[in-house]
Amino acid sequence: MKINLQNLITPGDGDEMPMAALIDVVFLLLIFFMVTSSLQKFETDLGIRLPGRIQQTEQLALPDEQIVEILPDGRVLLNNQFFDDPASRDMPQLTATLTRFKQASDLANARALLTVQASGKSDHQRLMDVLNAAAGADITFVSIGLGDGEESP
Amino acid sequence: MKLQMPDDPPAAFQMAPMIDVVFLLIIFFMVAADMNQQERVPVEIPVANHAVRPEDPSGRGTITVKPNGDVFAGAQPVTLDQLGDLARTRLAENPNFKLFLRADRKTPHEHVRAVMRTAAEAGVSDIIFATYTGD
Repeated sequence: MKINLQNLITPGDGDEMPMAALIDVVFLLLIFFMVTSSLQKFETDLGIRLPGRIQQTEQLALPDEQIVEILPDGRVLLNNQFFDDPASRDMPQLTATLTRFKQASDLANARALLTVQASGKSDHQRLMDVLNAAAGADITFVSIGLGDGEESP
Repeated sequence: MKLQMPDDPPAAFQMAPMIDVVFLLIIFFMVAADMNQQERVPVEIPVANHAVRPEDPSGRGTITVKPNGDVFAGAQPVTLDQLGDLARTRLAENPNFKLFLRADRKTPHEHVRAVMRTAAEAGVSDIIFATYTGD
């Protein structure tokens, strides 16, 4: 049998690597990684200063302090008045009230201080809603009560 | 005199450099995606539209709190006692140490409060809540 060695060494036209299919796959991979990496959301900051180890029963002698309570069902209480629907994320009523409180404190040259006392059963998102409303009202002195305290009804 | 200009050969599309560049781009995006996933315990971060993107995220310790109360320092599960020791150690190394608290939006506040109380007892006063600025 006669074997043509030249054909074994030099590939013919039909033996070439299919570049079009390879490029299709490579571009698909590229688009996949580009899209998935851009879809990842950036985490942002909402900071507070801890009140240290002050017991909840001690009253701070600050004239412009407001205490916001978060009940287990998500209702928000300020000055014996409920604000916004528990499902409301933006909390426009609380934001408007806190904005007025901040403006009044600024006019009186006093520091607007907000203390948030959340029920242990309330969701973390609700605490963030209240802190978000405080940030929207430009109140920067916010503290969170760390005492166990009495659970509000 | 009429000059005879030589015909230029047709410009061939160079596939090899293009594939090199595309593979480099793929590797870049793969590594970038992997780096974003490192040391992140998956939780549903709460949403706050007035939150800001940090200018300097250095000097932070990331603590994650899951809805069932499990606490993670980085990617390692820790108890509250271990968390207190860790906070004290980090605070001794860096007096400006801040706690970056990633709590799931459904986490009951009592679990978050326990972490904050532990941090306060360890001397950490700066706590930053992780949020998204939109759903």
